[in-house]
Formats: sequence, structure tokens, C-alpha cells
Amino acid sequence: MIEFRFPSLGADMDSGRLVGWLIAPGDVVHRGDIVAEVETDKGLVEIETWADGRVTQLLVEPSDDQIPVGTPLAIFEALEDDTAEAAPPVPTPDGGTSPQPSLPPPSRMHVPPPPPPAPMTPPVRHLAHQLGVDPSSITPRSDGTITREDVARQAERLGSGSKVSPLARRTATDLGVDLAQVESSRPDGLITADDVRAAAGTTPTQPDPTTSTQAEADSDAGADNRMAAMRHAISRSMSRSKREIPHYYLSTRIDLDAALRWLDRENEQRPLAQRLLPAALLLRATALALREVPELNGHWIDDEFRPGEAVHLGVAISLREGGLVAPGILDAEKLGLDETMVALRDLVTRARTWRIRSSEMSAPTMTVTNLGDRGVETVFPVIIPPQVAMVGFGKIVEEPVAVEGMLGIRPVVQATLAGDHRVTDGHRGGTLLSSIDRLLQEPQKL
Amino acid sequence: MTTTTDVRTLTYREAVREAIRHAMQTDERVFLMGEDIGMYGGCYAVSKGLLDEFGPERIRDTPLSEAGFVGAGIGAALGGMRPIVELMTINFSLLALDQIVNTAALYLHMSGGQFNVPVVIRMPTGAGRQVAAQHSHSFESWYANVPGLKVASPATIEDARWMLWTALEDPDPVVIFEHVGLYAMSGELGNDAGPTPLDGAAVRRSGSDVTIVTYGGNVPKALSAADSLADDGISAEVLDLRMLRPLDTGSILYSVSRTHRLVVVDEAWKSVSVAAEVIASVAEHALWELDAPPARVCTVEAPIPYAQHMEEAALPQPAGIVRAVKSVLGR
Repeated sequence: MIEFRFPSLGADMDSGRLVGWLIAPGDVVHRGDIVAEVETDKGLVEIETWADGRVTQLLVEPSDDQIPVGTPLAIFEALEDDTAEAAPPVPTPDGGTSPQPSLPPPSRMHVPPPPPPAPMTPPVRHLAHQLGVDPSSITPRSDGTITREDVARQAERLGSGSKVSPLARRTATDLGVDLAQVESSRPDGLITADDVRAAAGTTPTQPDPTTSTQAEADSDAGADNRMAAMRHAISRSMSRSKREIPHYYLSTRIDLDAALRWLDRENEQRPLAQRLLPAALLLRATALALREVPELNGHWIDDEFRPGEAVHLGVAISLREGGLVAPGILDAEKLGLDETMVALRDLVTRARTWRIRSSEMSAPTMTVTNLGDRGVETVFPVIIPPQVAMVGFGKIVEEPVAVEGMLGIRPVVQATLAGDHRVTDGHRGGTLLSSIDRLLQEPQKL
Repeated sequence: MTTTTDVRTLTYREAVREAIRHAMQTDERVFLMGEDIGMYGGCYAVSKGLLDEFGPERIRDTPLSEAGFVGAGIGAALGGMRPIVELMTINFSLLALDQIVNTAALYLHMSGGQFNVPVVIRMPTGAGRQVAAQHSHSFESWYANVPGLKVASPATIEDARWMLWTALEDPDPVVIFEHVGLYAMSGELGNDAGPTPLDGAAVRRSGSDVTIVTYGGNVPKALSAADSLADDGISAEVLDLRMLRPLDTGSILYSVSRTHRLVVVDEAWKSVSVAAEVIASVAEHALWELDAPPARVCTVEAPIPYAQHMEEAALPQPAGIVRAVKSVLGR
């Protein structure tokens, strides 16, 4: 028997609210599956299980009550072996396996009945719902199951990343083919007109409109709940920050001429998908600078400063629907520029589809807010407890700057630091901004 | 179909020489001038023997002054002659750009429609002969950019033999680019061939899977690539642009609308090239016909190397064309 307990999502967290279960008794879960949504000071967080097992009992119902960390939430029973997964495959006479014990009786209609839904664990089904993937559009594995990876791959294929040639689009319109049902025959995944024509013979023309409407309604309701929970969490966290943390503020102007020139040259040589954004340079420089000023990187817990063991760099991400999350790029000081860019893209994408992991929410040891794309020049950050500092970057603007006795027009950015006066003073804080400035002058070394 | 008695075999170089000889014999206003075209017989031996045949009045060696003798050619054209001005190689034409662009191309406009400039300017273009970076350019797109010029790129024996006459009959300036890699190419010419038009692309090989658009010295390379592709079951159509201005967009769109895939082969540097113009036209007018992103096979964007193996690597080659086609086809 395994007890699934309310996890601590941060050193200072002592309780949280269970918003909802994503599992039910009888479900099989695996390490890393999302099993519940909880609301904490960090915001709405999906919590993972660290054990494999079959759910036998849910001990706590979702409610507005604060539940202490460590409270048992559910009981799992250990799995005998992997074959215990969801629906055990049944041997068929031809030696293969089928997810169903027997096929339904032959239909009187000429149209064959839709295939039975392949077994998915509830967390996987939940993921499919979140990503807007119709489970029946996924081809099950040879054992009849569908995994997280299958769902993610299908989502990627159907999402903005899926490539359809212009002629294929036109052909699909002409033939009334739903492109989501079309498989590419090419290694690069491009859907061509031939693929559409091949699909035209075998697939139904349009999905049932009633089901998608229902799914959209469900997802709207879910988004409303999440928004309310997130607003509540921001309110509590920021109130605590302004109540408890004696902020001091510093600001400096950083010349980005060298950095942006280098970035332009670098991007010229890169395919579109691998191009770097200025934000990646700013994050990378901040992560490196934090190594030099470790007293800004860590947590204030129980009236003392606990330095972070690594730089888990939080990134404030505003969501399209409104609201804000600040998950972390883990071990940011160990990531090169390219890896930082990849991590940033990944984090933003997942934040905007509500797929941030609990470990990423609790990890940040310092956070960067980059309001640049909102068009303001200076941001005065509010530190996210229990962190002790926050760095802000404004919009990159062109300004007249005196350089070596000459006046020039240079791209500059206002970098600000909010520091916790209980831990550091302005002098140390200034060191961080100076280091970021120095690092950005040699972008090729980032 | 012609029988063997109706065709003869000659080189591209001989075809151009015949074209000049024929024009000189037919029209007494025609004369040839350029550097080393008389006594020496031309840098690429095109005019060899013509001095003896026509004399120094009509086969005129000029000083090494491109702006000067191109200007003189324009003046002669304005004065009623039909000059053929030969530039030794395309790079030297840069010295005469002002005369070609500002005078020859614009004079009709600047004179309020009073004066046409019926000059023909011929020049060798392209790389592949190990003459190093300064003599290996493909600047056809520079001229193709200019309204007022017609820009021809004969790639076959027939066009080499017969485009010149059409150009001389045209009332406006025509620039003819002869690729250095084609001069030694030999092929058959029908005895019944006649003047070829200064507009319209030509399908040099029909196909159904992909359209390879090219011109000049890359036409034989594209045909060779199409042969290899046929061995792999891929049917490639090779479209020879022939004229870079006016560009026969209609033929490009027609071919792409049948094959739905496009590869453009251009010996120029890729950026801002004829290849770029071809793809832009297809994107503007036939986007919904494309079944895969188009591809370009162009010269590496660097000075053309002198060393033979490096020069070969820098230029479009049949193997690279085959790769590009297969990539567009997803194979």
C-alpha cells in the first residue's frame, strides 16, 4: 500500500487547497503523472505522483479547506507488474492482442462502427482534453494503450506545428476532408495533396459538431476556475510580499548595442525555429551574474536567508487571458544560450496551456520579469516570497548615448533590481546589475 | 522530324559566329566592336576569321575603355547603325553600367519617345572555367532588373544561332548573355531553323513531378539532373527561361500548375536573384498550386574560388539539383 500525501511545493509552504482530482479509484498511475490540482501561494499547480500504483481510495474531497502538507490524500496499491495497466490486452485467435474481449456484433449498417476507444489512464485522458486532442484520432500502441507521449505527439501534429502544403489545403477544402485526419506520407511530416486524396477515400468528411461544442464548453468552464484560483493566489502572494519584505530598488541603463549586433549576426545563420530572442541573452546574463552575487539567489525562510544550491531562474509569464505565473528554468546557470532559449520557449508554451509542473513553480530562487513587449521602459518588481530579489527589464529603446566622448544612438534597456533589505543592501544589489551589464557587453561568451 | 541531311552539328561558339556573319551579310548597318575581337579573334574565339572576311571597318578593335566603346555603340545605334558591342566578360560590363542603364535603357523615355536605341550588347557570363573570382560572375539579374532593356540568355545551339538576328531587329537595347561553359557545347541545328523570339520560355524536357526552372549555362546541368532523376522514377520538367526580361511568368505558372513542385537553378548568388524573382512570382500567382515549399539551387554566396574542386563545389551541379528535387518531393 502506498500513501499519496500532500506534497510540499516549496520550503515555506505548509498548506494548500485541493481544487480537484484527476484520478479515480481503479485508475493506474505512473511516476510523473499529474493526479490533482491544488492551489498554493504560488498559484494553481498540478501535482505529480512519484509512485506507480493503482488508486484504491481517495481520502480527501476537493474543498476550500486548507490542507496541511503531509496529509495523506489517497491510497495506491502497488502494481504486480506492467501488464496490470488499465485494460489488460486479451489474446485473439490470430495470435495478436485486442483491447476488447470480443468485437461487437456486426452492424446492420454498411458503415463500420467507430473503433472502441483505446484505454488511457485518466491523467492521459485529462492531458488529451487539455490539449484539445480527440483520443479516437490517436492510433493505439501495439498493446492497445495510449500514453502521454502519444497524446503529446498528436497534439504537436495537429497544432500550429503541423505542416500542410497550400495545394493540400485547397484540395482538402475541395474534397471536404478534415486535415486533422490526414497522415503525411513524407519523412518531414508535410501533408501533401496526395495525402489528402488518399484520406478522402477512407475518412469521414467532418467531425461530429456536437462533441466539439461540448468539449469547448467544458474547457471554458475549466479556464474560468483556473483564472479565479490564480487571481486568488497572486493576491495572497503579493500581499504577503508587500507586507513582509522591505524592498529596496536600484536601476541602471544597459547598452545593448554589442549584444543585439551579435544576436543579429547569429540569427542570420540560423533557421527560423532556432533563432534567439533578446530575452534569452538577458536571462542568461542574469543567471551567470547571480553566481557572482549568491546572497540574492535563495529563499528567506524562518527569519533567515537560505542560499539556493543552484540558480533556478523564475520567469514571469503573463497569460493571454490575464494573470501571471512565474515558473522556473531549472539549473539556469548550467544552460548555454541555446538551451536557455529552448527552456524559455518551452516554459512559455506550457504556461499558456496551463501545463506547468509543481516542481517548476516551487523551484525559483530568483525571478526575472521582462515587461519589454508591453512597451514600458522601467519596471519596479515586487519580490515573490520566499525569494529575496527580482530583476526587471523594460522595453529596449534607442537613445542618444555618450560613448568614448562621442554621441551615438544605441539600443538600451533599463535593468532594475528589487532587493530584500533583510538580506542584502544596495551595494551588493548594485553588483548584480553591474555584472549583468558587463556580461551583456560580451555576448559571444554567454 | 528532320532527317540527318536536314541537320548539321556545330558548337555554340560556331553558332554565335554564324549569327554575326549572317547579320553582317544581311544588313550593312551591322558591325561588331569590342576588345580584341579583330586581330585576336575574341577572348572566347567567337569572332575568329571575321576580320579577314569583313575588314577593320566592320570588325573594330576598341581601346580598353568599356564606358567609351559602349557609349560609341549607343551613339552609332542612335545614328542609324545596328551595332553589336561585345564585352570581354561580364565583370568588365560593370565599367559600362552607366551607359547601359542610364543611356541605352532610358533614352527612349528621356527623349519623350523620340529615339530608340537599337544596340545589341553581347557578353560572356558565368563561372566554371577557373578564371577566378573577378571573371566568374553571374550578374544577369542586375540587368534583368532594368526596365528598358531586354535580357536574353541563349542556352541552346538554336538560340545561339538565331536570337541575335531577332535582337538586331528589335528597336530597343538587348543584352545577350553567353555562358562561358556553353561555347564548347556542340549540338544539332536544323537547316530549316530561323529567328527565335525575344520572349517566352521553352520546355526543354517535359515532366510531371517537378518543374526545374533555369536558364543559360545551367540548362544542360538541369537536363543531366533530370536524366538521373528519371532513373529514380522521378519525372522532372526542365523549363529554360531564355529571356530574363521580359520574364515569361505565364510559362512558369503553367508548368508549376501541372507539377505542383518547383526547383529553381540559378548560377547567381541566391539572394535577390532571378531565382528569387521566379519563386516570388509563383508565390504571388500560384501559391495554392504548390504542394511543397519551393527550393533554390544557387551558387554559394562567396567569391568564386580559383581552385577547380572548390569552384565546382561552389556552383550548382547536377548532383545538388537531384538532391534539391528529392527534398522537395520528400524523398
